[in-house]
Amino acid sequence: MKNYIKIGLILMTFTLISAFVVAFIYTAVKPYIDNAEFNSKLKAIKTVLKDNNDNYLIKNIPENSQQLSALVWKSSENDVLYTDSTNAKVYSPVYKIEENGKNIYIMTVSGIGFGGDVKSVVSFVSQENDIYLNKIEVIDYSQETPGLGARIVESAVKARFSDIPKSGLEKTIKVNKDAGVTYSKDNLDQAKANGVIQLTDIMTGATITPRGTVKSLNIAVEFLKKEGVM
Amino acid sequence: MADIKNLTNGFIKQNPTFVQVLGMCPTLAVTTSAENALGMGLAVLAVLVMSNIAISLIRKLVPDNIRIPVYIVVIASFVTVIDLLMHGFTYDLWKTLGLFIPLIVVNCIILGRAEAFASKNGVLDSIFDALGMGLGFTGSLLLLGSIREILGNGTIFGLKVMSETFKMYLFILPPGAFIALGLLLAFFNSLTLKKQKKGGK
Repeated sequence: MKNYIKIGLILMTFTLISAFVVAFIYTAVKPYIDNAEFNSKLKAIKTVLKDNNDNYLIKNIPENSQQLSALVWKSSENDVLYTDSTNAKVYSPVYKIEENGKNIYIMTVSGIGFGGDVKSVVSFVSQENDIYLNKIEVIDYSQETPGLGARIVESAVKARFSDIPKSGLEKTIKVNKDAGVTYSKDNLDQAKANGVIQLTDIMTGATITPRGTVKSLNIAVEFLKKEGVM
Repeated sequence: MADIKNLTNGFIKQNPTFVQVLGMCPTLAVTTSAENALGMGLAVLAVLVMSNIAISLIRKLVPDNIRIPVYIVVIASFVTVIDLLMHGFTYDLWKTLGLFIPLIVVNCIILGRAEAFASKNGVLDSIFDALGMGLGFTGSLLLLGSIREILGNGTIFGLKVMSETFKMYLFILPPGAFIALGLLLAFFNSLTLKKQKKGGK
């Protein structure tokens, strides 16, 4: 009996020391972690606030967490604002920036890819009665296959998901393989107007990751429809 | 006095991956690119050195019948520390390696070295052993990662080295991991066999 208590106490001592060490490091590193998370989010938001020529769409660019939290449009206590049967998600919060009659909606969305959620930040620009998808920035694709699905992060690929006009958004967006059509490089605008993302020429062999990304764009559109933006 | 052999053993003779065939799960899963392989290798190296030092220091205080839970607690703490540090300071790498960092806790190389070496030897020897095994593991991961990235994606550390035409996607997919690992195992075994034959003569 004595022996058991002694062993139990020794084990407890080691666990306590470990807990103290981990707690100490956590407290010391927490500000850096928050900072890294915030910077990565802010970087993605800034990227989607640019147009295809790398110019900002607006003048007042958020630079810190205060400025960013002033732009929150929809938020929820849960992490997820909206989801559908395919488990694509719109995350909280969604930001809205108003400037010169332009409304820019910025959301974090995800769709199921090859190994899990493929997360992107996406921006929609609405002006008068028109709306278009401006840009996407893929922020989490860590479970996708390098050289195949992970190529979703290449700028040439992301460009194919950008600048989709209202007519394309209203039809459900599809990758060209699923739509059963192939567009040449000169007809990309026409493809986008039809809601087709032409990919087979630049992302050969990968199907699941772009489908996940497309689902995440469609749920973003659904969310905007639900909120009466479209 | 520490024995330098403890350091060099892990490189080839007792290489954790190719000779001892330990830690296969991260070896197969994260070696899709040279960068991931190097990141994972270095994270394991750091945990291995820290846990070997700690376990060697406390080896006389730990009763024999609870040594494994104590080792696991020590290793898990260091892995959590590494996970937190990587999250704060190397955010992109931390994102890429994802789930595999916490899984270092159950990497059998680390527990294996704690049980087989650090719990029986002094601090300096344990550091040598951890460095040798850790570098051996990092090296083999890097080798496997580079081969898979070159053959499968035509790049190494993201730099293009081979034309698109020769890419074999198979090598960045799971079956390619097994094939590449199998060939490397065969190669390392043939090296050891040759040495043994020479010794026999």
